[in-house]
Amino acid sequence: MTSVKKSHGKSHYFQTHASSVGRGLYLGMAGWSILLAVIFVAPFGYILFQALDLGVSWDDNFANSLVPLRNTFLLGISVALSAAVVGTGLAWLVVRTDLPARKVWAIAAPLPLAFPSFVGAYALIAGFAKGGFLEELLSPLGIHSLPSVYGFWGAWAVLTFFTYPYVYLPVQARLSTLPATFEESARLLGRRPLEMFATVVLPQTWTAISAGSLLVFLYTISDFGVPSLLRYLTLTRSIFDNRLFDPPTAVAHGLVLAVLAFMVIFAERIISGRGLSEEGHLSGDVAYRQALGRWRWPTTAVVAGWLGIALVGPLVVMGYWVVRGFLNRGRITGPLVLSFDGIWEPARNTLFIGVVTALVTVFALLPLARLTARYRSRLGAVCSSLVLAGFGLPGLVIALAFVFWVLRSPLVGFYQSLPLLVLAYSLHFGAQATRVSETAVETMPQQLEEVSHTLGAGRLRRFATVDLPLMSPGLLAGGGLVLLSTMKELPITLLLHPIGFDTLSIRIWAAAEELAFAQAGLESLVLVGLSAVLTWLLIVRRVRL
Amino acid sequence: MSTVTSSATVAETALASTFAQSSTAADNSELPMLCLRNITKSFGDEIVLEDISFSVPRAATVVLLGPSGCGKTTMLRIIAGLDRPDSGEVWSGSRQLTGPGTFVDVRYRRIGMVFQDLALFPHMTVFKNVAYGLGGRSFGERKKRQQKIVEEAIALVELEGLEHRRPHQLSGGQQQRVALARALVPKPEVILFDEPFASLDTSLRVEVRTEVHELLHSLGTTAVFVTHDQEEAFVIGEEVVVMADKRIVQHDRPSVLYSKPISRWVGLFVGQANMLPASVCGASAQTILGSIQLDEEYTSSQADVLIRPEHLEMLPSGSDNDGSAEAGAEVSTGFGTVELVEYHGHDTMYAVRLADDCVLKVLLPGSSPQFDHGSKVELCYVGPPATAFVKDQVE
Repeated sequence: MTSVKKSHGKSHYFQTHASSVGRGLYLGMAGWSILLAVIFVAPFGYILFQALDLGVSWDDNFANSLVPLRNTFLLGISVALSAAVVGTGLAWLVVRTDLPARKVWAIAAPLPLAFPSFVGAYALIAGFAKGGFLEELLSPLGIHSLPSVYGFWGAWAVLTFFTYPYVYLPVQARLSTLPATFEESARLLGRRPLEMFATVVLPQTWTAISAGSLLVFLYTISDFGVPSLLRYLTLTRSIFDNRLFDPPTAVAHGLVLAVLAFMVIFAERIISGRGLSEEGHLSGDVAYRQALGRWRWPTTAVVAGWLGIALVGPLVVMGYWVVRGFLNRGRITGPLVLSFDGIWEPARNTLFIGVVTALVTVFALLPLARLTARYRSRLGAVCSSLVLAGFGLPGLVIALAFVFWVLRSPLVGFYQSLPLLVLAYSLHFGAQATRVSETAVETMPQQLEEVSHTLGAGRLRRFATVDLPLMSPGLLAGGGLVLLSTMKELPITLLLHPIGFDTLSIRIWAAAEELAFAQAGLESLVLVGLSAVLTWLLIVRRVRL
Repeated sequence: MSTVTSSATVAETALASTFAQSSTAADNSELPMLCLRNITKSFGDEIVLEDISFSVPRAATVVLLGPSGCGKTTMLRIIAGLDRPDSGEVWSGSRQLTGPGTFVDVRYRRIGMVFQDLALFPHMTVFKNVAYGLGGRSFGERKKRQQKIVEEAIALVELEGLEHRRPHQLSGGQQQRVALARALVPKPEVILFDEPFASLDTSLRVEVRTEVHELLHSLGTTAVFVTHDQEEAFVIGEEVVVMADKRIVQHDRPSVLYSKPISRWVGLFVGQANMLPASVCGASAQTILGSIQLDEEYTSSQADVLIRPEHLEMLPSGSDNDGSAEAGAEVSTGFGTVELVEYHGHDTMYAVRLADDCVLKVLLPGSSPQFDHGSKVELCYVGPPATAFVKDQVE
């Protein structure tokens, strides 16, 4: 009986294969997928090739990477640990305790994602600046000199504040599916709340915590804006500083960074693969609420304080400088220079390049997503994992590879052109679109496609009238994520943007470097406003409260 | 456990001493093990429990029986200390657990609980799950002692050799036993069971139920079960508390519940029942089956008589029993047609339509059905004096 059923299923599978995709189309999709995989691997391959071609030597180019490597590692580990603690703690408080106003915190907690981290670094510098916001605030208390924010501690603080949502979101999702009876059993069996947290809650969320922390680690070691503005010598900074006058060193350091990043991606794969099998799938519909007792209000104060600093703090600092700049219009130099004229063009450019990148990325990756999710093709799976690995390659390394490649190739005319910029973005953020697109294809019932086929619809009509409308919510989400990331991106934009095509991040970067606080504040407010809308639509709204 | 060999029995008696309930304080032994007084609970505006009082004698098993949503589980959670009632008291012997100004924390109550989903920790082995209630890490003598307790508990539920498995590597019945062992290990004074067999399939459910029943009985454990399954309640419970719509409707031994339900609703809820319209005169009712003896004098003239299907006897109509049936004072008869035959193996349930629109369920023992669909039959009541519910009685 079973064997009959099985063989029936198999023949059915082949039938579908043959009927709904023509052989030619299937080969086309496969060819396209291979091409994509090659393109996504190319930057790393090129850096490797350059390292050999430029005659990179250990003594001259690799040995001096030890200090920036150590700093990169130190910063990555510290930020990952602190983000893990904050993200997990916040998620637990919001989902599993009787913290007052939980819904408010649940909405606010992922929102720091709306801030590009270099905007956070700018806000920290502007806030602590001489004659700035904090000094004015604290001088009545007799505090006149503030500690320096530059160096490790500043970078660590900013990155922790703006990357903890990468831990918070998966842990929050995991905790809200944890059955309340686990914690209740632990309590009934005589354990204190803290013991219960350590023996039941923590082991059950371990995979989410470690995967999120690895993502934070990856983000931190790839981040360019924060260590640069806060003057902490990491690999990204040494790559950027050496790219013009010492290309072999830049390439060598890029290689070190890329290898480090791939090791992280590899570790993440292993952890999430193992975690699923050990923890099992759970579904609890009632959440456990740990009574916080006398800790209730102090905890609320800490949560409110944290989210206040992360969300309101930067906005207040920006607003403060914008107002001061506005009140001192007409000044030519210094931190108070403020011009409203130049704001619309970069805003328009930012949106334009983001939308173009999103469209290109989503549609370029759609055939691959179909191949992997619908036809379960092994070729598709291999290509897909190469595209996903592209996510690990730091943006600065991608940009560096493109710069070196284009300048030494017949395509030199494409240097700092829009197509090249879009291509670089797509390589960097393609992974985000891939995951979402695969889900979109998977959730589409195959029968619908077959039904429309039996009704005599042609391939093109079928795609336009059945596939596309059904997949559009998923594709929109994938495109939205790419748009959000593109808007917040800094190093690729910095190295590859066409002259005269300024985006908001370019302007903010330039203003922040010149300590033009008011101008940077205005542009940051616009950028954060735009990305906050997207963050709301794509992330916060999807969180199960 | 279901197959009790002589050696297993010896082992069980030895092990039972570790987990058997000891009546420590002599002065306490007369108090009920668990006592609830006037418990009221609401969630927001919705009242879920209203003025609930009952007690559980030492070493007894009491079952809370009721349809889903009647507040049984909330009741259990209040006993465990997972929820606080709005008012009322919970006592364990002479110790107040919940009351005005008193709320003993969950972990000091000495109450164990087996949840519907069992809540075995998936990241721990069977051994660690069972040992969980003994506290964190321990060393030296204490560790050895704890290890012995855990091994004994695992032996008690016959899971030797599976100590290092994870819960997901066990069958449903084995998982059930791990949950029970885990609850037994801290030696609670009372164990609460929240529909523990609901997730098992029918055949396994009966088997596991028997095992648990046997174990609780041999250990003398005081237990409170929650279920919506009447059969389960009757099998396991020495006393059954029937709950409906936030309140306790009846609290009795199962046999009393079955033979003398307090209301029409309870009568229909516990087991199969026919409600036969009758005109009552004192302790006797005139029905379509003739005259039926009632269990007491009733004042009202119109009533429904509760008739269990197994208290009806069925004969082919036109047989020579006719005359004798009319002659016998306690046997009453009526004629009808068999409309439905449901064969269960050990017995058969028939639906018989009597002359006017009245269908009665009849349960006859025997390993093969004696009547076919469409047979003309004659019914007579052969049970004990029946209970009647007067017409104007509103539930």
